[in-house]
Amino acid sequence: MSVQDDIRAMVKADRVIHEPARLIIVAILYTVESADFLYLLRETGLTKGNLSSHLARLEETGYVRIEKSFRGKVPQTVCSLTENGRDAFRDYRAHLKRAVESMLE
Amino acid sequence: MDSRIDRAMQRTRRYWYEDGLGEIAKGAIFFLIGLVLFVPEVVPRDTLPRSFSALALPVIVIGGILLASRLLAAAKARLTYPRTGYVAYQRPTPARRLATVVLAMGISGLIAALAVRPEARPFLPIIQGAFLGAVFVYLGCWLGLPRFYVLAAIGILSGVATYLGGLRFNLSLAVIFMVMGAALILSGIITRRAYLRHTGPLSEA
Repeated sequence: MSVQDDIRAMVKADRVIHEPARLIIVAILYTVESADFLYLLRETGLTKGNLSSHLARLEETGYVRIEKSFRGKVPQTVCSLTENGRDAFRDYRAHLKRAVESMLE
Repeated sequence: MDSRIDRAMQRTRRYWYEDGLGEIAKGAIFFLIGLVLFVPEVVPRDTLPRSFSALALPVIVIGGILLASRLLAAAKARLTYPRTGYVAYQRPTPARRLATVVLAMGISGLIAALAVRPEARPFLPIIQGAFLGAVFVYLGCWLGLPRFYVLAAIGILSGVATYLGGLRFNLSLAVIFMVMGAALILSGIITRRAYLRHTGPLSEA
C-alpha cells in the first residue's frame, strides 16, 4: 500500500469520531455505561460551550444519547453511547489500527 | 493518538478509586473478615464471642458487601459526584459473572486441596499473600494506579511474615486479612485527603 493509499484509508475514517475532542468523548463513554457533563468537562478539558457543541453533534449522528434531569436542584446532563456509537468506535479503532499497521509494513 | 485514547479510557476506569472511598469500604470488609477469623483463635471455646464469630463470617461477607455498596453509592453521590462528576459503570455480563465465580471456586478449591496436605499446609500463608498480591498487581496495571503495587507488596509481605512467624493456618489468614484491611483503609484515607485538597464543588450551570 502506498502512502497515498494510507492517507485515503485515514480519510475514509468516520469523520464524526475522527475529530480529536469527539474521539476522547466517545472513548470515555465507551468505557462506561454513562457519564455526566461535569465528568466529561473535567476529563476532556474543553470549555462548556465546546463540549456542548461536540455532544450535540454526536447526538445528531445518533452516537450519543443525552438525558437531562436534576440532582436535587442542580441540573444534570447524563450522556451514554448508543449501540451505533459503540459500533462506530470499535470500527474506528480497527480502521486506525489497520491503517497504522499498513504504514509500518 | 491511540495511546491518548487508551489513557482516557484508563483514567475513566480508575475514576472509581480516585476519591479513596472504594478502598476504605473494601478495607473495612477485609478487616472485619480478618477480625471474625481472629476471634476464635484467641477466645476460649464455648464462649459467646467464639460462637458468634462462627455465624458472623457469612453475614459479614454477604451483608458487608451489600451494605458497603449502598453506603458507597450514597457517599459518592454526596461527596464525589458534585466535585468531579458522575460516572455509571457497565454491569458485568452473565458470562463475566460466571467466569468470576468459576475462578473464585477454582482458587478456593486449590487452597482447600493444599490445606489438607500436611507438607503444603505451612506454605499456605505465602500462597494466600501471593494471591492477594497478584490481584492488586493486576488491578494496578489495569487501572494504572501505582499505589496498588504497594498494596500488593503488603499482601505478599504479610503472607511471608505470617509464614516466618509460624502462625497456625487460621490465625495467619486472619492476620493477612486484617493487615490488608488496615492497609486499604489507610490508602483510602490518604487518597481521600488528596482528592479533597485538589477538587472543589462544580456545577454544570
